[in-house]
Amino acid sequence: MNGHPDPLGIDDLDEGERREALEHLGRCEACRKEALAGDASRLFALLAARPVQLDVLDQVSAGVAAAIRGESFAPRRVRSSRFRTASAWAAAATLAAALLVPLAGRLQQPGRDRAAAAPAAAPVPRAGVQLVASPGPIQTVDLTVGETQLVMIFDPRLEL
Amino acid sequence: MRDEADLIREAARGDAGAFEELVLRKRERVVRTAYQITGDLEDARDVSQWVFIRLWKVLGRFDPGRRFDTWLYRITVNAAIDLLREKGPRGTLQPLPEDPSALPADGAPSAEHALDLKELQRAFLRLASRLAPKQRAAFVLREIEGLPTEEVARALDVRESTVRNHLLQARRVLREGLEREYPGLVPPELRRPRTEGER
Repeated sequence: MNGHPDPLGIDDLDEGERREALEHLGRCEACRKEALAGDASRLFALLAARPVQLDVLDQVSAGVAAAIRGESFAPRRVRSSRFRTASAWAAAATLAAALLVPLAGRLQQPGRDRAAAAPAAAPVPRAGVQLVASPGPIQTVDLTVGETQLVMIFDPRLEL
Repeated sequence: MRDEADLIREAARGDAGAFEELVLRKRERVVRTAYQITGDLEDARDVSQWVFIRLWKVLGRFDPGRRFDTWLYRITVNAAIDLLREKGPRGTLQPLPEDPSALPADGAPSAEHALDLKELQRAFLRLASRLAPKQRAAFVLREIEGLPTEEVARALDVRESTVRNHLLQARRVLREGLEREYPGLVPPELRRPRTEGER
């Protein structure tokens, strides 16, 4: 945008022009003073027009993707807690990944515990993630790897 | 780039990929709106996630004859107001953290310029926290998101005259608070004389 936009005319601009005008207000002290004197709300618009950090936006996308691809997501009955459910699913997925990666790594390094391992009769370790059928909204995930048994129970009704 | 109407239609049929692209397009305005109402970035993130998950579930009920953004704003505003009411009044609100990509294209702002903006943002967040949730929501949709008054009325499910009244009150609270509590931010020669009705 060339020149100085009229702060009082911002409402008449389309979305793109309005954004440009507000960005100009962020750079131009003279225009900012004029906006401040005319109507404080113009300046509020300028301040709020600053972009939200990309990592925050990515966290939103990741939480939503985890929830909708989990398919079993159910809105919480307790209204005050509903906002935390999406975050809980993302946290559960992260926890599962954090636990599985080191365990899987150990399984791929047979030489590490060679002295303790039986040479021929060692049982084949079982590894993987298994969703166990559960009644109602409760989800049970079996994360057993080898001799290490880990079962994760997710109950969306619980407070975190 | 896919047409938005197509994305909405495909997402409504259960296409998760289309829905995630829709989230990508709308997430900034949803987070920004939620942040301006709750005044807390963590809350805004939680509200935004809830909004999109809710949207995924109810998208099949969307009437294509209506404006999608207005519908999305409505869900966002209601969720943010609910959270605000549950948590009660706030203390000090935190400005958005600096984003390096938000610097002006023609170079970094001077220290004085950056200080001014930061200080102004704190002042406005503090003053805005005194507005009633609906007043704040009306102000955010009209002044920040740039929605026409009739769209704001639809998003808030109130009459246009109510929106105008909310805006009038919000502007008055902000302007008076700024002049009274942050006089240094408004140069004396630029202060607006009060009208008879404002005294």
